[in-house]
Amino acid sequence: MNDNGHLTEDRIIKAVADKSQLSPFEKEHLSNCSGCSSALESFENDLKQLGKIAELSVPSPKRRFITYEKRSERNFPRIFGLRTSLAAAITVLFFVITLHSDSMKYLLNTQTGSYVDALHSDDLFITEINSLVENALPLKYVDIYGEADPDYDDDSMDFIIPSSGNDTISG
Amino acid sequence: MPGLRLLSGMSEQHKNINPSPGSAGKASETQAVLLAQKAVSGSSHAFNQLADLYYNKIFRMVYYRIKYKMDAEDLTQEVFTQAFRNLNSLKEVEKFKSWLFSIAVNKIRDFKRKKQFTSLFGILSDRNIKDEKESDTAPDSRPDANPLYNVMRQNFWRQFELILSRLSYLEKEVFLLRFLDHLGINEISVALDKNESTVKTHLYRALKKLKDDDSVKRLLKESMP
Repeated sequence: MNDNGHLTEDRIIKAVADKSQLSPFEKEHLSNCSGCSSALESFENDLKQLGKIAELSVPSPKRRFITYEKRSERNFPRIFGLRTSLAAAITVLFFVITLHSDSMKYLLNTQTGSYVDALHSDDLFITEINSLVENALPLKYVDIYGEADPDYDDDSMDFIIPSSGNDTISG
Repeated sequence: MPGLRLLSGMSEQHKNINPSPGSAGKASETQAVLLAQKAVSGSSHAFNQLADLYYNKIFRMVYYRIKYKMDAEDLTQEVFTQAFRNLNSLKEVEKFKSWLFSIAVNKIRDFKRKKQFTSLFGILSDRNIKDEKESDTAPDSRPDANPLYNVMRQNFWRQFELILSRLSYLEKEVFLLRFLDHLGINEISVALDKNESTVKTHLYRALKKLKDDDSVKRLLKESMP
C-alpha cells in the first residue's frame, strides 16, 4: 500500500498477473476502493483489447483437410514397413506364377533331364578311367599275366619266383 | 475508421469459431475433456472433433509467434499429427488443452531454431519474404485478403513485435499465452513445463515492462478508433 492507503502500481500489476497474489486486506481494499479497482480494470481492459486486436489481425487459416484415422490393431508386430512388405509379396507372387507356368516347367524338366544324362555318362567315363588306371592291359593279356585270378597276389608270386633282392637262401 | 470496420468484419468470422469465455467456454472445455477421454481410449472420431475444436486456437497461437500464414498452417497440422500419434502419453485428459499447447510451443521453438540455422545461408528468410509478398498481392475474395486490411495487419504486428522485443523469451511466452491465447496460470505452467510461481514471476516482469513505457496504450490508440 502507498502513503495514501491505496494499492501501489506494483501491487496492481501483481493483481493483473494473478489476483491470488494479493493479501486478503489488499483484496478487500480493491473491492471497496473505486480508484484502485478502476486502475486495475483499465490495465486489464487494455490487455483484453490487445488480445482482441491480435485475434482479428490473424488471417483465417485454410480448412483442415486431414482426418485422423486409427490404424487397425496389429495382431503381430510389423517388422517391415508396408511398402517393403508389399514389394516382397509381389516378388514372391511373381516367382510362384513363373515357376508354375507351363513354359517354365518344360524348361526346367528339359534342363534337369539333360543334366541327369550328363551325370550318368560322366560316371561311366570315370569308372572306365579308374579301371584302366588299375590295369591298363586288355582283358586277354590279363589272363596270361594271371592278374585276373584273385588267388594270385604279390606274396604268392614272390614265393613261386623269388625276386633277386629277397634271395636269403643263396645268402 | 475503415481499418476497424475491416477488423470488425473479421470478428464475425472469429465469433463463430471461438465461444466467448464464461459458461459457454466452460461447456466447451467439459466437452473437450469428454472428447479427449474418448480419443485416448482409441476413438479417431473424437480426436477429429477435438481437432475441429482447437484448430483455430492453435493456428492463431502459432501465427502470433511466426507471423507467416503458410508456415503457421503447416505447423498447426504438425501439432495435431504429433498429438494424434502421442495420445497414449497423455496421462491426464483434463490437461489436453495445455498438452496441445505444449506441443505447439515445442514445435515453434524447433521451427525457429531451424529457421535461424537456415537463415545463415539466406534460404528460408528469402523464401518467407517472397511468400508474404505473394500472399499480399494475390487476388482473393476473403476479407483478410483486402490490401488495406493487410497493411493494417502488418503495421500492427510490426509494432507488436517491437513491444515484445523488450521481453525475454519466457516473459514473452508467458505474456502471449496469458493474454493472447487466454490460458490460465496452471495451463501455462503445464504448457511451458514450469512451476506456477515461475510463471507468475515472469508474467509480473513482462507486465511491469509493458506498463512502464505505455507501449501497449500507444498501440491500442493507433489500432482503435
